[in-house]
Amino acid sequence: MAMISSGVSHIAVCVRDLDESLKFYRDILGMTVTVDRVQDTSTGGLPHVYAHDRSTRRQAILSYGDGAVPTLVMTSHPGDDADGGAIKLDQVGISHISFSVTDVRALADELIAAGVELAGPMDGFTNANGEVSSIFVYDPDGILVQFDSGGG
Amino acid sequence: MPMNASGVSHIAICVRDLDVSLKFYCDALGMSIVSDVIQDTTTGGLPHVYAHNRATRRQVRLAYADGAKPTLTMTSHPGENPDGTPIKLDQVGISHISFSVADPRALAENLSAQGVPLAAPMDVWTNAEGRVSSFYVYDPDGILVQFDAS
Repeated sequence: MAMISSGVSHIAVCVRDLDESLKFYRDILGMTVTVDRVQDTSTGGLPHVYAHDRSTRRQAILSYGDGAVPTLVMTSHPGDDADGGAIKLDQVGISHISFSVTDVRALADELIAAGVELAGPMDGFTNANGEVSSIFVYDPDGILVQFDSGGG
Repeated sequence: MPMNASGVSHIAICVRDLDVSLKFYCDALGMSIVSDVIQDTTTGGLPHVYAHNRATRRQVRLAYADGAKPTLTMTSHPGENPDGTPIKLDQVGISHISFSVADPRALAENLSAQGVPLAAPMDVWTNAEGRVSSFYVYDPDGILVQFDAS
């Protein structure tokens, strides 16, 4: 069959407080903010993929390098109450994304030092040979974020 | 500080019935299966990121090309009842992913003809010049999937 898509352009994450999320994704994880703007959410297609009537949203687009895809498209709705909630891996929906990193254990130590909450004890993520090939942490909204050494 | 990350390796999606999901992601969207395995979910880190005790899961990794990242890592738990409900764009969590496509209008018409539910009628996605730069569909679990001309 013909190649329908060239790949994933973005991953959309809705958060309660974008400033808090930027402290995590930009300041701690080192992503770059390429766009930060307020958008009208009352016209076009958006009302059809929204659960509630919202007049505007703040949208920030983050990536690890100029032109790198997929980007993270983060949105918040200042002044509105956001419902929903993060899910775990065995609940229907998109549970998490994972970032490839070269040294998962070193990163875990760095994140813990920065006050980030691991989703389990370090020994839970450590194999019999003392290696850490993957960890999960919670972002400020409790959304799971994984880091892996390339094994998936 | 900035960590040495090379990008997003995978996006994890939990579904009710993987065979039904594969009809959508492989047959309709044209992705290929990279791996299809049964995994033990009782040891290591997984129990810490699960809502319930699960013995095993089926995991299928999908991509558009060999070695392409991120993969979609899809899991199901055959014989068990998954909870959770897909969210909309203004609800906290990861609402959707978007695929880059050359011609969103043609794809929308193609998917619609195959019975894939669009999240809104075609005219909603069509601008004043008659162009479609983005549209959304529902996957078999009601998870929103976007296609854009970026």
